[in-house]
Amino acid sequence: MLCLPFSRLCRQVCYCLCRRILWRGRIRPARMYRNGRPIDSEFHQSERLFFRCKLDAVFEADQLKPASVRFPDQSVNREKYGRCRDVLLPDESPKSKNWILWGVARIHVRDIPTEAKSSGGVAYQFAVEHDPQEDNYAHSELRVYKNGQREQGGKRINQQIKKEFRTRLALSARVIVKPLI
Amino acid sequence: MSTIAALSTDIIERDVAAGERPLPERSSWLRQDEVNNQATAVTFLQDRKEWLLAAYKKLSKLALLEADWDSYGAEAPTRDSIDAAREILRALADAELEPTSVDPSAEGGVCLSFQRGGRYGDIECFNSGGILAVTSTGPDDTNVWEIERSSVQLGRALSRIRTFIGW
Repeated sequence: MLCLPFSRLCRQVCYCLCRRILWRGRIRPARMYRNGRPIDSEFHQSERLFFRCKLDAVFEADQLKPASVRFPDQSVNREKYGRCRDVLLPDESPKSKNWILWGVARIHVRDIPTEAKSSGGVAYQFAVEHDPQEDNYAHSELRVYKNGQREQGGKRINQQIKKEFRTRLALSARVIVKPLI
Repeated sequence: MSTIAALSTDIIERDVAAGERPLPERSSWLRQDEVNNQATAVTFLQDRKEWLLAAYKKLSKLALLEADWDSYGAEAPTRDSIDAAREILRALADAELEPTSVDPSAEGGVCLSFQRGGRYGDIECFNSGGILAVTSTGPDDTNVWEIERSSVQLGRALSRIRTFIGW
């Protein structure tokens, strides 16, 4: 087991080397860019979805804390078009930060609850949808539909439904790259 | 006793300082929070509830979080949610129920969680003012319920979580 400062240094050095040598000075590898590729709505049940997390968001035994899960519209990267560590790479927007020392959590598509009904009888459907960005083709989102209409922002979603979804999702997730900060 | 005395002096000095010069709104309540946290912490230090002191310190840190702390656009905890979490921590201390962790919520607020083996429970105080609790043994066994901000309801929720977790 490497000590934490050494692990941090190793990860940063790896990123710098990849950037300078493999990616020819770009902040992301060429495979991450969309380059005109279409939306792919097909998700296999065993496909893995990745998102980043900090040390604070993880219990011992690599269990993700439900408090760290956002819903709806949690951004994830799909395995089919990327690698787990892609979610740690900065993007080209001025607001972007370097997340290279953060960790990566994964869930399977089959772990996402498909539907739920509130005590008032309102039906909610949940889905992961491919939402490619120009510099991140694998980008996808966990979305919610209320009576067939997409709900964005979460203000009009039953709080108990949201909490149940977040808890179920977090308890299905595993941290596969240890956060170092 | 020296630690307690030092904390008490510090609190008094901060109290006086806070009264002498007006502070911007957020800074003001952060300062007051720190005073409240330390005042309660002094009381409980005498009872050797060290976890409570750590939890209050964590709350003070959460009050300093800025929006987008999770890089996915999460709101920072508001004063209301931090106040609610502090109230619950007091109740937890009375009930001798120590949370596993105190964390910011990606939905905006503060979450006090409990974990033992495969059993999980939490109480989440939202910026909106709502409080929800959950118990779960896994994705297929999750129960969520709402808690009103009353000592009776909170007591029931703590009792339910304690029984579920097995403490």
